[in-house]
Amino acid sequence: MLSRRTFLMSTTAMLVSGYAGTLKAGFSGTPTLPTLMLDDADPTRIIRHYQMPDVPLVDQDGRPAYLRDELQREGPVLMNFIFTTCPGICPVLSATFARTAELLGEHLKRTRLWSISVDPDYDTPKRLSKYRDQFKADEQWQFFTGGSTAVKSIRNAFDTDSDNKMAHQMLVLLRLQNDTWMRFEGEIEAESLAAEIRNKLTRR
Amino acid sequence: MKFTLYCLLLWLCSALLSVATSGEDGKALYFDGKRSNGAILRARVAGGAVLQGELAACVRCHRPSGYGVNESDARTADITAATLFNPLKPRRDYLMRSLYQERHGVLAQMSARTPRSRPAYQNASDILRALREGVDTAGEKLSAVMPRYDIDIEDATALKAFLQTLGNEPSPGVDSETIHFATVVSEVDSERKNTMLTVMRAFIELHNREVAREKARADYSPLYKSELVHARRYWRLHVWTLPEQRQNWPTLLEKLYSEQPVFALLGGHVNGVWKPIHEFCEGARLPCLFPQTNWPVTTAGQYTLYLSQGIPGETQQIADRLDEIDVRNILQITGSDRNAAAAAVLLEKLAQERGFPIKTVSLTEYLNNKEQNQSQIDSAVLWFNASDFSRLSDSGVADKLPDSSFAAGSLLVNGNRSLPEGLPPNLNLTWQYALPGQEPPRLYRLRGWLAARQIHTTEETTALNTYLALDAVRHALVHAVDRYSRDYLIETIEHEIENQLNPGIYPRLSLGPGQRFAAKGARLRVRGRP
Repeated sequence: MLSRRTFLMSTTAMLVSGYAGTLKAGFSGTPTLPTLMLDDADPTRIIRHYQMPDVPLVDQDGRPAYLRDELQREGPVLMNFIFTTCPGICPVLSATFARTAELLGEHLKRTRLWSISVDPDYDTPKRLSKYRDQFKADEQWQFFTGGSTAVKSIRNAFDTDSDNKMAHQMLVLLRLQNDTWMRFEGEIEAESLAAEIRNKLTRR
Repeated sequence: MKFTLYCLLLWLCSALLSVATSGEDGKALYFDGKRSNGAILRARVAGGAVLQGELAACVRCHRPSGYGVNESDARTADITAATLFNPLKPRRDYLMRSLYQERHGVLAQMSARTPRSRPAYQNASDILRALREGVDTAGEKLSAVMPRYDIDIEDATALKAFLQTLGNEPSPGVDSETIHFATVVSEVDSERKNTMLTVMRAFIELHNREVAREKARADYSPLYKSELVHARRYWRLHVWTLPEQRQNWPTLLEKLYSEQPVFALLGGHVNGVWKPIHEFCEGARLPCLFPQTNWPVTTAGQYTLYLSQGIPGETQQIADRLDEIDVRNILQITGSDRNAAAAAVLLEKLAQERGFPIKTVSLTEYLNNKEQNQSQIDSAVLWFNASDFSRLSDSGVADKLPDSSFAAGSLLVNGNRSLPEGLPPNLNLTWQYALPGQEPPRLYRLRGWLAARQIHTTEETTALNTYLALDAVRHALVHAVDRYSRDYLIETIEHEIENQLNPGIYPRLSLGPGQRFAAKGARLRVRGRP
């Protein structure tokens, strides 16, 4: 008969091994798990390969945009997902982009910043343009919206879909090269983003 | 003696005035991001990024209610007076809500599992420390998402004066046992009105039965319900019937409301525009949730949430399309529906703004002179219901309309969202509903709910939209636990409406702070094409 001690030990071992397996899957396999992080820890950076879907979007000026084609051009791309009526994290994400652009200085010319609306039904180009103005965005920073299906396919491709826009993540993606992206989750600082981009641009 | 008394009175008045001014300054800081000295509020967040003005205002995250919002991993704290100025202790009922009812990311789940305690905020210095340095009264560091503000003790004093009032408003229509709701109807009987009231009564009867069962076994705790039983209330519906003459509606609504205050208006169906009721709700700060109207007020209010943009939205869509295709001779024909003439006036206005001409005739005028009218037009806009369309068909001209012809789907459909037979296949329709066969699956479940209660109606759209209004409130009150704040009710519905509440009528439902029309995915539909 199983003693109480043996039972407890085996259960603990099962839980620990399960947890370790879960962590491993988060870094090397699919599906992606949300990053586990404590307050004040650095954001965990995960390298992933993502294919941008070939779907049409429009930018904040109503001009058509095909991000898949845009990605044929080399260079770092910093991308996030926001919506203009977002009550909490989007202003923080957007302010972080604004600060990153500032910190990049002359490197900004070779970097593109993309913010894609996760509320395309409401976020018209006009609304995006107004939101963009609040952050005094440089011309390198563009905002995109489009059909709900197109936006959903992009969110799916970058493993950031949710059935409710309010459940969207604190997430920034940095294109390193081709379809290789670095994924930042949690509390993200502009210094870290700017440092990664500078590092990438000067390493060439 | 008199002089001393006079001085004392003067001092008291100036002290009261100073508190009032301070509260107003705090309110400006909270809502508009303006400091006491008139400067724009500035803050640093996430290690140095700058937020300023409205983007830095407290209301952006803590919301008008002060109860905050949860957004994936970011949990915004409750800063209402009752919470902020009292020691914070974990509460099992709120914890239940956080752990099992909220949509959280992993970080937020972890933080919900380790609830914080802290002493009460007592003075402006405590508030200043939290806002400038991001340190709470227990000496704990606040989240990095909470901005660190560039403010001084005067701002903190003003903010404290305002926060001491936040969340203290009474909740009219709520007592220890019951929540009172009202709905507004016309005095004339109709299938739509009867359907709406039948669904409401069935829903509330079921809700009250559940509450009675839980209260009867308050000490017994299956599924932890005893933790929440103190927050459970019976619902009572008051039907406010308005006469056909509209000029006295504002006075009558005031009278009905003063006789029986209610927590919210649910649904509602009257003939004609919703504006008088909208204005009453905004004035009384009374949530007015999903009225069944084709003519909502399109300028954003705070307390009225609509299902869709109705006919004004459809008119806008048609105007946009006419502008795009750049046709010259446009004729709009008004039918017998009470909204048709108003839609035509609105389209004329939009056409004038965009600089394209448009001519308006009634259906009778058009049929009297149909040959001449047909030969002179490149595009027709039909403000028709099904019977108007029958008249057009009977006169044999329905299939001779130009290719660029438009009609408003919501006027043409019947109560089950079906179109009349014989519509020309090339007619462009504004379409706010889910396409047949592509409806959200909940439609089928709710049809079962209606059938189980013997609710058989030709007004299924009304029945399901009524269910949505009630269900959204039930859902929001479950989240609110015992926080009966009208602002919080609206904020929770804004936040939660995407979570499987769509009754199957619309392609998508979605709201957000400041968004007032829930149905999304409306489009121009060319019949015969997907």
